[in-house]
Amino acid sequence: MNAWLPRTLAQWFALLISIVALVACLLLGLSHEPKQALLSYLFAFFFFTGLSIGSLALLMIHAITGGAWGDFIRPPLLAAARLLPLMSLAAIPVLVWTRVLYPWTGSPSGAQPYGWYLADTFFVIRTVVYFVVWIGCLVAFTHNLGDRVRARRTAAPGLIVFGVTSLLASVDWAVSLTPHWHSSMFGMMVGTGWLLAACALATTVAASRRDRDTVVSSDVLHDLGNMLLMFVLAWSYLAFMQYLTIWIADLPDENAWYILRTLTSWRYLAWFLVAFNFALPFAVLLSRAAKRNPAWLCKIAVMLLVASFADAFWLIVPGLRAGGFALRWTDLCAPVGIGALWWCGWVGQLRAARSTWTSSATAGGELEHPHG
Amino acid sequence: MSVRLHGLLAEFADDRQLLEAVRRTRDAGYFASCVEAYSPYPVEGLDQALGARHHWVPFWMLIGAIGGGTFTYWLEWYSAAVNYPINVGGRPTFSWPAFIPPAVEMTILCAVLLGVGAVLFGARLPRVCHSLFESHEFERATSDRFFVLVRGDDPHFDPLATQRFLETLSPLSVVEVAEE
Repeated sequence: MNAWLPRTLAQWFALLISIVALVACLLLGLSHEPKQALLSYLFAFFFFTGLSIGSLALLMIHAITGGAWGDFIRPPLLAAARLLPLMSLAAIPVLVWTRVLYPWTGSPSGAQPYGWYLADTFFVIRTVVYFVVWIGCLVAFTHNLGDRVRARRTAAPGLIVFGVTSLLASVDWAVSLTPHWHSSMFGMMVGTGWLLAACALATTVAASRRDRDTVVSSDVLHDLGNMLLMFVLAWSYLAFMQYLTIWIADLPDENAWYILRTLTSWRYLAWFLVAFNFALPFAVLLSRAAKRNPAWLCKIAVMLLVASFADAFWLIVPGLRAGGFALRWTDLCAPVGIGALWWCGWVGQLRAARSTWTSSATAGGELEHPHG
Repeated sequence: MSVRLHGLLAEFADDRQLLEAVRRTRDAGYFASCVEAYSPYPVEGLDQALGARHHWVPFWMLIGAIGGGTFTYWLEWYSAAVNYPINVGGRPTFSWPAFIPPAVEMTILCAVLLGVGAVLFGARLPRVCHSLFESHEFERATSDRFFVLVRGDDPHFDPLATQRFLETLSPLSVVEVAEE
């Protein structure tokens, strides 16, 4: 458990920044502009939780498919997935102030006809259940990680659970900000976005300068580039199809979500996502040379990580900021607070994961027998 | 030597020997464009061993993708918004999101068609008759034998010297392939 304790000066500094930012966001923000402060907090929580869940799902995918790529990105993914308990604590402000944040609470008409589902207590119970299930998956999976066959047996049901819970959680946390809106594609789009963010984070680490000359071959980078391309295409397909079906039907219940996001000044953020979460990475990742070049791949992965962050902002924040594009000071505080805390934990877990998986590799373990 | 040689064909028992033979043949100075390898199944690393060749396939696929996608999107715009505009439930005649899926499908279709065309053209297919088919040994290239062919048009090719070189690779056999 000592991987949780900050060891370096940078980690202590991050922890300090995190505490200051979170206290500012929750204490000052809540007394000053409670709804907007919680909205900022929700979007930061949504992004970093998604990064952890996406990492766990990507690890599980690799446990089933195998392949050398997964062994190289295991430490950063494992470190991110192990932060799920921390993220469950980060959910507490959302659960405590559910009534402040969500429009369907309080007035009984707000939630009709979903009254029995969108009730405060049931919402809190569901969020607790998601985290219990995810942490259960994490514990079971990491326990079996040393044994390929047992890891595969845990990963298969784990991925089914990921599919269902990520869909339900994204509906609870993000869709219910617009209570009457629904889209059957939303959960899958968010789940794919989480996998994309996790893959981008792992690729950034694998292709970054520190690791470049030591272990990662250009074949592995090529595989990671192809995976990024696949996630970019999957996300773009789902995001576009959701837009197309709603645009072409043009029904009042459904189009409110997009009218707010594409006809007000929020549309510049939509164009940003089209450019940086689809068009540019797609064009660059088509090139074989770019996928095999660590510097290029690293730049693309960082760009996709930033775009995924913007995507989380786009999914959450406009819901309660109907006047068009606007930033609050808590939009900076909340992600810095949760992000610094997440980073502080991630660096410690990464160090622990690296020492575990490097020692087992030298002892003739995982890295010796990549299949596929 | 009244018959012109298409090349010399060396036969090997497994893929590792094939890979080694290709490497040594290339190291001996024979050109990438004149050394050919035949195997019943794809052998990993064989492409690299044969050496870099310029493939036109990705280029033509890109042309097909851009051309097919752009033309389809233009066609949809022209037919729905210019040539024969009709009102469909009050939607704009130029319904740009609805035009994207057909354009994407045509992008993929044209890329694949031009890619297949480029592969066939580059491999000089279809072709019903080839000098290699005259060799009796070559029949097993599709079941359990591996072959290296050094073509006669390589500037380093010399019927006797090349034959002697191929013998050093410990093949099962080295046979002459006559030009048809």
